[in-house]
Amino acid sequence: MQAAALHGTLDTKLIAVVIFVYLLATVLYFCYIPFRNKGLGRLATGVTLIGWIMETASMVIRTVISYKMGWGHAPFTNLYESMVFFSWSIVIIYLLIEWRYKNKTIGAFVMPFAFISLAYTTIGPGIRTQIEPLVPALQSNWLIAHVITCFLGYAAFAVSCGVSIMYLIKAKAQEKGKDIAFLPDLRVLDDLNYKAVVIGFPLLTLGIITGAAWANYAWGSYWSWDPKETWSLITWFIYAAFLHARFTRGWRGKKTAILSIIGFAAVLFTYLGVNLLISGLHSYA
Amino acid sequence: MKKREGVSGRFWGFFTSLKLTIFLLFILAVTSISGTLIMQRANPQQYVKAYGEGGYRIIKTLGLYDVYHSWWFLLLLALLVLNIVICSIERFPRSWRFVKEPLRWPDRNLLEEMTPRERFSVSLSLEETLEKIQSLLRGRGYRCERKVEEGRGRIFAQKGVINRLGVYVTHLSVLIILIGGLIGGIWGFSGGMTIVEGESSRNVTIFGSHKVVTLPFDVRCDSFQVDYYPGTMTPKEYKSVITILENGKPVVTRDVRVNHPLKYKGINFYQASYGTISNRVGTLTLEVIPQDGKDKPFRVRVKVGSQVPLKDGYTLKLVAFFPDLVLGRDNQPMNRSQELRNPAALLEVDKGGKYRYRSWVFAFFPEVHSVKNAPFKFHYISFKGLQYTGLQVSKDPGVWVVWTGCTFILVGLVICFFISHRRVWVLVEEKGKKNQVLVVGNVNRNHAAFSQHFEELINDIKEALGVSQ
Repeated sequence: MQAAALHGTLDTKLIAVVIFVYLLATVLYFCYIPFRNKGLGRLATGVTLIGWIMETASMVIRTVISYKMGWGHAPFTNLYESMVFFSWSIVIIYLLIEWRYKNKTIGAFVMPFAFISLAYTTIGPGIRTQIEPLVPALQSNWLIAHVITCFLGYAAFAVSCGVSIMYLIKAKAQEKGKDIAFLPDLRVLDDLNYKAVVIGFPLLTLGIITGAAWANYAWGSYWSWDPKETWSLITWFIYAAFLHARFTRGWRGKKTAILSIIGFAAVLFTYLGVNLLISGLHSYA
Repeated sequence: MKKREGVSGRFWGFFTSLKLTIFLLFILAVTSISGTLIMQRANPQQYVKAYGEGGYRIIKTLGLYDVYHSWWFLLLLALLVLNIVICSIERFPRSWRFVKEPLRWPDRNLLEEMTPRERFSVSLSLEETLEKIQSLLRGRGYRCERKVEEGRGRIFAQKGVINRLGVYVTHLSVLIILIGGLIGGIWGFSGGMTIVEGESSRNVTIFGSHKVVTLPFDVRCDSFQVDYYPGTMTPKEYKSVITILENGKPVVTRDVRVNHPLKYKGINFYQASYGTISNRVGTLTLEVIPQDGKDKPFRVRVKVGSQVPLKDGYTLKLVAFFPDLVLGRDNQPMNRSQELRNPAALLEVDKGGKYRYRSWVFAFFPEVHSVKNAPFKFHYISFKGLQYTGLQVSKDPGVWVVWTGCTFILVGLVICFFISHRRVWVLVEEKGKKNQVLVVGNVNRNHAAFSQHFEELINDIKEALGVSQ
């Protein structure tokens, strides 16, 4: 069969390289923290950017191959493709935040998410890397809008989670009277946490809405309390609570950092847990 | 906020509390989990089997068989709605004041206390100074008002005042979405209908109940077809050709495919499922191989339950057909599905009206079960059963309300998160030959970004006025 013959297409070979590029970037960001060497920081960003460009190329190639096979679809259709896109989203959101807020140290706590997401595609059980044709339910333009918005949102929440972990580590050390000087100021971390959530929340909202619109087209019901839908709503509730707590109750620092980590756990459960543990309409990814 | 007395005051106070909001959001998040772990809307036997009698009793009492429609879940939603409404009523007047009657000309003393602020003097005239500052602010998207009194002039500039209203747009949108859901729940329905090719129906069975909705028109399935990607078993397309009949007359004929529903008179038809009715209707084509060594093989077509002549007075009867044969309890043959996955036919050969023998024919095991020394061997060629299409049928008059709410919630979130209400006051006073300029800024959120913005603004103003930095 065609699909079997194409096992190990150029795009998957590229991804295998990107895994190591992201690992290298993670290491470089970690090295950057204690030394604060400008050259090292630039190198870390450069390596990340090169990895991201390769990953983009891989997705383009995969789309082209899919068109050559006569199926022609964007690479957002199974677990493998979604994990590649997840790491892609994390990196682009991270790079934007690094560029906007001029802070390279958080790379050390965010790049691991991109690396793990990609590395998991090679070791995770039941992950098929072949390009597959689209079943009828997935043949919709809503698919692209839905996947892009959801994953960019997830990526922003990954950044907020990474920043929150840094916050808790630093705050813990300060409680003990020590300071981890190479981590950014607590105020900066708290602010970045909030900013990442503020990017993620509208994207998650849009992701849920595009999903609802698509479900309405495909199944005639915009909301059917499918486990995936419900978990996305649970995630939405958690981040809504985060925003209300911060805006109006003045929650800051540790409390919101913990909320961010809980929120990201809900994101991961929505994305992976539901598929692994609960069956439903969303069986592809 | 005013303190309110009495029962109604305490009620009001309870619902204006943001603690309640956060609490409700958490409780909704936590309780929603239960419905993803416990199967929903199953029948009692399934619950007893999964959780035992006691477990089922708990599930039944707490309404856990349908969490999202249980009284306590709806109550939580109602509390959230009340919370949103009352908080909005309580806070809206204050926000509206920023729009309606902005603080244009605050006291000089008040300005002196605000940050960020900057003071410098210029040698330009009062008019010229005001004009230059105002055009600069305009260029940066501020809306400006000017007031000149004796010996001094003022500018009030602001942008992004809409941010003060973003929160109400967002929360109103949540209410609109819920209202849309309510409208759909009351005046809409969702069900399914199965129609065999060539037949028509007007009955929709409502999901989760045995109720039937009768449509005011007939729906006919002209044909149903599955296309596969070449060389694979992956379906590419499910397609029903559907005709709507009003009083028996066809009015619309269209293909209904997944993601391409048909809408007629506010009712939507979605391709949902399909199947083949193979055990009671359909035609089997067989190859007959006479075992006498003289005659050549030939083909016959036989319908389920009927007979065809073979030769030499022999006749063939198709007793039963199984599209997907498995052996059930007590080795009884039965169908696992209605698809042609393991087709098998039970044939009976008679001669002169008298029973001779029965034989099974399997599509995938041509040599199995041929009776020894029989006059004929049979090979399965094909079977054409009648297909039926399963349509999901729904009517939801609330869906446009929901989409309206969804659009506004996005608008509201953008207004809330990416716009801030920025205000700049300028006070120019004549002091001797020179003019004293006081510039004060204020923002309601994202202070860090604003102080940078303010700094740039001051630099630009100074440059425009020819003041040394």
